Amino acid sequence: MSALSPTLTLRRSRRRARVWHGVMVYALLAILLAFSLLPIYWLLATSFKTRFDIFANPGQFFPFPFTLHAYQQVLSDPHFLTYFKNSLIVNLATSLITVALALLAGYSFSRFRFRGNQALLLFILATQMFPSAVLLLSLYILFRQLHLLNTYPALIISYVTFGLPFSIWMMKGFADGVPEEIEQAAMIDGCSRMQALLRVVVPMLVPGMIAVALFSFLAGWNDLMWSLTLTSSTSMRLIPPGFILTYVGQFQTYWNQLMAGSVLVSIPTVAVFTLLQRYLVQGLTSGGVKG
Amino acid sequence: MMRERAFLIGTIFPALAVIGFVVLYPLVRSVSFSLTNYNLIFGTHSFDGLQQFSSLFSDPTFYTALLNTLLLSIGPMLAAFVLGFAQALVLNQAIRARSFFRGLALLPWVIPQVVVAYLFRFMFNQSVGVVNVVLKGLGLIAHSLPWLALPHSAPWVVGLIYAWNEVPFFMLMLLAGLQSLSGDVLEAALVDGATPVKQFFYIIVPGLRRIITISTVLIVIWNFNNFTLIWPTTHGGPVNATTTFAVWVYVQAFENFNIGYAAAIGVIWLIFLLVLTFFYLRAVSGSEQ
Amino acid sequence: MRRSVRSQVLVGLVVSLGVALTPALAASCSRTVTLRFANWAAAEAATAKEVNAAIHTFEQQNPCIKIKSVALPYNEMVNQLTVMAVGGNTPDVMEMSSGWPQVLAAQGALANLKAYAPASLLKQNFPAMLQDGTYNGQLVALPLSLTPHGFWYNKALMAKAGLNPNKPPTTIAALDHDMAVIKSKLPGVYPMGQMSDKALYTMVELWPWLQAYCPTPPMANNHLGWTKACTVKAFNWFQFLAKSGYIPIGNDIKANRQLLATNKMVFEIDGPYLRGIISSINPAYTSNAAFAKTFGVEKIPVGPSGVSRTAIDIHLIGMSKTTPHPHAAWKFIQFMVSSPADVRDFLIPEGGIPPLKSSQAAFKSLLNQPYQQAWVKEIIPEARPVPYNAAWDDAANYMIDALQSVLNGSNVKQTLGLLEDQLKRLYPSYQP
Repeated sequence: MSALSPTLTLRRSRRRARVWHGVMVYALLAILLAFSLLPIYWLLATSFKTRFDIFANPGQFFPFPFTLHAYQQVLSDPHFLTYFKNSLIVNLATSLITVALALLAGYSFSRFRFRGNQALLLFILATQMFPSAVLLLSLYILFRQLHLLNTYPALIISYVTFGLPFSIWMMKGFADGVPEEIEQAAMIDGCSRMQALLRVVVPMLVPGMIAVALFSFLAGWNDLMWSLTLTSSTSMRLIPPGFILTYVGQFQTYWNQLMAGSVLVSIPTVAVFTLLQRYLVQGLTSGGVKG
Repeated sequence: MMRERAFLIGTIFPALAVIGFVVLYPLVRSVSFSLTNYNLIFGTHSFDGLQQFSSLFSDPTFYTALLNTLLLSIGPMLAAFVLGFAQALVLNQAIRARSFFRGLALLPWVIPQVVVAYLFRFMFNQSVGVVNVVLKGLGLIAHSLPWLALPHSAPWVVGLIYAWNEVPFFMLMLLAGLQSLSGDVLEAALVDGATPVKQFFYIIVPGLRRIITISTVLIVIWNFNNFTLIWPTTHGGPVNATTTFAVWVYVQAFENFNIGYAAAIGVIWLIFLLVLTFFYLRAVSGSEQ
Repeated sequence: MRRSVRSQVLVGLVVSLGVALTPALAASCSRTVTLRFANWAAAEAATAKEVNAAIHTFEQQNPCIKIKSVALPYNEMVNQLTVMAVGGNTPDVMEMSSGWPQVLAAQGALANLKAYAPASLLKQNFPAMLQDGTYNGQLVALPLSLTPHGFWYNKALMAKAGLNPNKPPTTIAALDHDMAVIKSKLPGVYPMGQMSDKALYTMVELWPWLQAYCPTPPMANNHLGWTKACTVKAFNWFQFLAKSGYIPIGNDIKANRQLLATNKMVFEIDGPYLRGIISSINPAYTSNAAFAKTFGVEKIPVGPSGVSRTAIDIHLIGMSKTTPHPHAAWKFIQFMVSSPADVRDFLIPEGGIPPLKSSQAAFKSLLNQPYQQAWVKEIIPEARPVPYNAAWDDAANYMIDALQSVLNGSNVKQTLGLLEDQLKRLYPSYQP
């Protein structure tokens, strides 16, 4: 990690200032992360408590007695793994398709000025501006006629439309930041435009692609109503409706299991991101991008 | 030239086809419902002109929902933007275990939203919620309060949930943007003797302008449609204190089965957001020149 | 890591292709009928085992009928069934909760069971419970499990407050007195639970009290009745409960159950399944003896109306009007409401009281706990339907708004006047 980040660079001349700066950065980081992480801590703590303690001692900060009972319950339910597997399949496919489509469309919107360019971009965004509760009724009928209910493709294609409009705009923005001379040089060397895009431009768009991939993964990951409506068999359910089904019952809510299940499904996502985020910086080092 | 056109069509068409397939038919059909008295309970489904719109404008809930939607779409977005930007700037520094902290910062977004809603409902509960325990411990309140059942506090709690959930989104987008900003420009600014504040306002913000614009627009649009975070926490209550368009449409479409009316709300919502987005985008691109 | 991600995607693509291509599996029976059974029990942690056991028994008894559970979340079930009905895809058999049969029947989704149900079966049902499954004179759902609400009380906490634990309040005046004592003697304990969150279910706890105040409660007999003196009195009482801090505000019934189970609430109206819920939260009450020592249940206290009437809140079962297999569907419904195996393996373990008088007699030994006896002898005979109708969901939203306003201190008469006006628009033919 040799690249020095901008703000730090400003201060490198003075050692004392740098120490002070470091302290400030960590203090700021602690405050900012505390806001995000305190509710997460409560989720985690709840998942290690007995159901009795959750209600009997609402202020109990450290789970005592500490129990893995909720985790055992969650993992011994065969449906849990089904929901998790379904969510991974659907959202990973969504993510890959969205990145591919957004990359192509975003690049073209960035490079070509054609009539209706702006209107088309606004139209793409406008498809997000209608209440899904009303859309769903018609979509259900459409998908039933096409025999797509209870299938992965129905969910994947729906979720692609969640993330795609924004992703196209994002990729256009990132592509705008890549100077045209770079791919023109490649095209003079004999590359087709597509080859130039894939070989020269894409490596510079990697940070944006990672961001878009994660965004489109999570856009579907968080959905409840669409997957609830478009699937009805237990073997096709995704995590959000599956969790509601299992832990938010008619008679009572299984708080500790709900939280334990969430912890279990969140860990892999965060782990993958932690690995992937290295590529967020790759754009910086892969070429002399001008501003 | 022909080749360029084929390339253009070949790259844009797939995206448009997917969007068109899923959204276009239901969208057109739903918009057409707004001109009918389509109601599943009363079994009516015939052309009704603009009747739905005229009852909409005379419905006091419309104005309550409009105000709530605007406040809850824009307010939490601004808060999340500021916090997310701050996180992105800090996590862009060369600090130890940076990837670990970046992963942690992402957590609020990775927890399924419906669980987030239940978690906050649980934390803000009057009798078993930790928030009351903490505030009482700090001496800030004398008695436990039913935060989500009081008309003046419920919208704030819901706003807090929105903001908390959206911070990682802004963090991620702005971090990706910061990483693609070139170090050279910042070096050059440094040579010119720019202070960090100047550097932030004259180089970083303009450099991220496009990302900032589109992320803020998107979050406002998504907040308009956010149902998952609000329904399990308050169902739009107490009374109508947190009833947004999304909640109201759901109630009309899925509880009252008044599809024509729900579609009419949807049409107003579409027009409203289109106009808002159009002028916002124009204002932002106008300041560019 | 990367490879596993890739293989996951590959598996996904293959599986999704497979779903489209796999033909129906051949079964041992020459002509198998598959029924889709929409229910919430099959996915819930608490009930999945029981309902699946019952379904398994049915399939063994009827090898030519397969049951496919369509598990839907309880809170979203009516909406999902409606979407399915609009899409021409209604499940063949549906488990329902009170109020749903009217909504679904109004959309033409439910078959009239009078064509199938023999008189002998109907005679074994309670007339008021059958009323709960009736829409416009058609029997669109049969009672599946009887779970009207009774008045639960915590004897240990009553004793701790210096009250006689064997004399629960039987009138509203006595209840007011006891709540005042509890409030002053037991800090941190809520005297009573009363749902007030914005969910349709809140009506189920409102109705018994409205009946305690009004001989003819609002909405009954095609009249609105929100501004009459007895309704105003009832809402004044709700406001008094909130102002005095006797009830937590904004809680759903699940939160109140948690408080009851952890000895932080003394009175609550709830169904017989509360027995199982309490012991699943607080293991100290697992044994029947320990439970009966602490918790008792009674009829709803009598108010100015002079009667104790609880609201019918039960589970029902119905058939799609468009099912291609009505006879198989009826066979399954009959099994679910009357077969001894189902009563023993599902209905009683789930915590309800079986719907037929004959089953109640036949399974006396499994219904011998004091709380179950309270239901069989006192609570079920006094239960009356909430006046559900097609526009109920819409109307109930206004009623809950009025309740929440009153609990937050608004003027009772004005609030009820507004409610009356709002409902007048929904029910133009109703008298004031």
